[in-house]
Amino acid sequence: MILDFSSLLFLFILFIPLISGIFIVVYKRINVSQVILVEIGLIIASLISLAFLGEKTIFTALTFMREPIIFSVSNTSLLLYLGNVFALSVLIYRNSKLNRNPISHFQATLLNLSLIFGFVAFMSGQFMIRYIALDLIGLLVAIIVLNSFSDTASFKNFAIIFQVLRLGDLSLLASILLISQYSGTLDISQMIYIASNMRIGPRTWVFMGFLFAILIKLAVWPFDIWLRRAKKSGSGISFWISGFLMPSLGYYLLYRVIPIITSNAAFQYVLLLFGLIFFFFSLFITQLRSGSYDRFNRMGSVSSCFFLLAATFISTRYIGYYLLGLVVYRLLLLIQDDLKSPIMTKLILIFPILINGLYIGVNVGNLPILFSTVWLVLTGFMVCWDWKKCSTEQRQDEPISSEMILHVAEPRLGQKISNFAQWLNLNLEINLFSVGLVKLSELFTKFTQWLYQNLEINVFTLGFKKLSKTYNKISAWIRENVEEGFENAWLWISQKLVKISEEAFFRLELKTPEKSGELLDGAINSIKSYERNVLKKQLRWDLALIPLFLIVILVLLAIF
Amino acid sequence: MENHEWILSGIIVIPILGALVLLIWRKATKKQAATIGIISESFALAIPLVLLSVLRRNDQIVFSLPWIQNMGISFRLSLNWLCLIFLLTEVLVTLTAMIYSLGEETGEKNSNFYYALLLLFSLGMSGTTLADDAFLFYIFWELMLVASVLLILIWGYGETRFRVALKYFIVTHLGSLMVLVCLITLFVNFGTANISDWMMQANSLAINTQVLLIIFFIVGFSVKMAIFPLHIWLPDAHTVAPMPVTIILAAAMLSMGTYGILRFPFALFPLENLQPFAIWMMIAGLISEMYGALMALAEKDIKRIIAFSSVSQMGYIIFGLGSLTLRGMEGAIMHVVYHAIIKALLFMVVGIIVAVTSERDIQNISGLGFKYPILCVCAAIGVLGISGMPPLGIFNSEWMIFAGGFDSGVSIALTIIVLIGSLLTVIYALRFFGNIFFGDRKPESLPQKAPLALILPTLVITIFLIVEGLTPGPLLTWAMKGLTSFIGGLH
Repeated sequence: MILDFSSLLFLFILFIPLISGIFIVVYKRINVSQVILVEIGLIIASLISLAFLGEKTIFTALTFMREPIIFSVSNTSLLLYLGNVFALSVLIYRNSKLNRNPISHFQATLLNLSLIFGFVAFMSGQFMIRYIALDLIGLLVAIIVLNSFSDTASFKNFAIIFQVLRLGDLSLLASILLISQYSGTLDISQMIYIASNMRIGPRTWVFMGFLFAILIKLAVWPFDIWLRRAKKSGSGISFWISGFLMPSLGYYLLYRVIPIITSNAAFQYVLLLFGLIFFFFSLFITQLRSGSYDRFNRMGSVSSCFFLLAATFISTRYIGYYLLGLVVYRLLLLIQDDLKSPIMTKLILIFPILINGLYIGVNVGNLPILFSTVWLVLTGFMVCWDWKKCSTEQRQDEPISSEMILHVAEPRLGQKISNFAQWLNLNLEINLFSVGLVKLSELFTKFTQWLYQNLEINVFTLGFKKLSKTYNKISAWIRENVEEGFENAWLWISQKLVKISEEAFFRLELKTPEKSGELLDGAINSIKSYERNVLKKQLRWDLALIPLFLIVILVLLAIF
Repeated sequence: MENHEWILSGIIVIPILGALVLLIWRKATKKQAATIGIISESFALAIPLVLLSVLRRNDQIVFSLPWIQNMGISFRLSLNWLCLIFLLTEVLVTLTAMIYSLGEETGEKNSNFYYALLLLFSLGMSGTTLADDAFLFYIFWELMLVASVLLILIWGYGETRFRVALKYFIVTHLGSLMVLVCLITLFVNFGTANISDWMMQANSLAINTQVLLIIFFIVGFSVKMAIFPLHIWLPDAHTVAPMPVTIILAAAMLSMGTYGILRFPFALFPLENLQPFAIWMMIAGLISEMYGALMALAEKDIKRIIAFSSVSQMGYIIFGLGSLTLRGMEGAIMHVVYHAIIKALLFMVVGIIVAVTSERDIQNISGLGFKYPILCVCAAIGVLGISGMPPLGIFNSEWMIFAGGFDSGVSIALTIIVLIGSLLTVIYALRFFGNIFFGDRKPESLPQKAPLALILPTLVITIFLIVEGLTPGPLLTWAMKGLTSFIGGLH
């Protein structure tokens, strides 16, 4: 890194929260709010100085996964971060003045981390570093709602916030990785340029990924599930991270991906459609919420939708100031209770017209006339709606007169819209996004349990047991019928053979000599008796002539 | 032969000597046995680090001695960048498990045998990684199995250990047999057991033989990786095995399957011949990722929750390998390392929880956060790590795997499903953490402090996890060097 004055200022802004964080941790008795206010003062001064030095790319010697880490200081990002830090200072000052929710050491640590990662997320010129910073801010938003270990409800909130924000981050990651396949780099400017010229198939995936991530970060209804929970914790720090920093990062992300949106007319129309739907639904749904914090939620969500809508055909000229205006509007909404003067109340009411009007005014040649007109009309509609809602809330505090009862009793357009809003609230907000989500998660749990029981336990565990039992049975049968059958056969054969051999032995080895002896004896005896009988007889010499006679006959036959 | 080549053999010889000493010294106490085990294993860890400078110059160190010469078999060890990553991972994990054992009840009896078997188990893994001869490879491969089966049989929990050890042996041995068939086929075809020689000749085999060998190798090694549905040995073995053995099984031994796939089918055959299997490996990865995560979500036993998480994490690895791209494979290798560290950490945390609560049912444990803050911080880092939270390591490996999925050009939708499916990891990890550390304290009476002997190695591995995540550079470089030297045509 070449250490010029801009780089030094940049490093200073990056390290102030770190130093402050260590300071707060080491000196525990210190007034945390005062330290943070000083810290913020220094950051604001440095940011303004940096802005005066002009836009700049800061190259570092660091790399992340073979990619150089660079920071890109632009006016838009500087203005947005400045607006956020300013809003934070107002929040802290207000809280310390009113002695509301003193900042704990835990919150101060999280705040300092948010300031560091927020700055990195705004300034990073490398997409993966920006993604990491965004992911970590999401984690901080979730962590800050944790109260104590005994509070399981706060952990549930933490889990939901973390999961929803992570889902958004994952879709952002999908887009980044898809582009990186084509770009071969993680440099944001190059990636956006290449993404705008990619094949339509992958580009559609990229667009969808970015859109989903932006909708979650902006906490546009119905993706504001996390924001509602984040704000439940009620601490100023939590309010700032979830209500200011995160949506601002969403604005900035949307601003950066505008070239991708405008690269295809279909994307523009999709965004326009989404913007319009969410714009009107946000107005209707939030109709039933009341109170100053709820006005902040309501109008914050609506203005986010408004920016979504505007991003369709937006001109990037003076966009930084416009986004700064949106942040200031959020701040005004938040501190409306403290600004009791009627002028300020009216200013808050007409603030959207002011910023939108000014923006359209300075971009009059760059924006289509029809678009500018519709934009202004919608802004007017939004302001009227807000005014109506505020006056209704005010009336609810006043004693009800008979005139008013009559007035309300008439079925007017306002009543009809209110009924429609109630219907929407019941069917979408409660039945679908609250009860429906619970039911979905129950269904998911049931499915998981079913899978676990039927596949993992019944098949892979008990199934294996059953398999081994079956195997045992088969092997027992084989042993009994085949192996033992052979054995029995062999036994039978061997028994037979033994019997045969025994018989043979008996007959041949034992009986035969005996019999042969007997036979021999008999033969000898018979020979002896024969001899005796023969020897007793007289020898007849005449019979000896018979063979001689036969020889004579044979000789004669031979001759003749 | 040069000095560094002799030094290389020390990775094998020193643990053998250590094991022999332990087997002879029957009266050794647990501490004495552990000391010998730890010293031997430390040498096995130190040697590759000492050889790092030589490796930078030569890219490979070979130690070779003739063995069965008429069969072309030699005692040949080879250390290269790919081996180095796996070797360091498994030796480090074993060393940590040995130290962790000191604070555990396991191995109180027959300590000499216990540590000798741990050394042999580690030796099996180191030998498998270093072997450059198929015969030697298979001997070490089976030594790994035999040693782990004996450890489960003798020191495992409950009466079911006999059944579980048998199941583990049968299922993994089936995988080993498939690998053996391939090794014999290659040996018969080339007349040598030298794996480096095979790498030069394997392409000359008939295409049908190549296809068959690829299938057998991948399925055989997938059993060791516990890819769904070949994972059936894993949950039971991890649950029944004593905690240090579980740590080695989950954190180190699973990586052997990945190493096998890289070392054989991927290194032997050209990538185009592997291409038809890419989609199937990626689908198997997706199913394994989802299934493991869903089971971890449904499971009540805390040890089995982490065991199922291994099935899920192995899914990412096989997906990365299946992408057949440089980024995907680099991611897969990095995931092996990060998963090993995180899994060791999470099992250590589970071990401490079981030690202090004597409970394993997640429904009966809660509110431990206040009582054991250090344990809670270690668990939180482990849980965030496995969820893929930057800058903890798994984030680095996961995004490279996903990038590999996109680079492969197989299917954008498939990669997006895997990517979004990683949210399931977040869900089960948060359930695990929230149920255990938040809520009313259960059980009521808990020891004042977690055992220091268990906490210290857990803390060290936690710090190591953070450092590894913040400095992925060296690991990435090693993985790239290892892959490009083994596998040609990577982009």
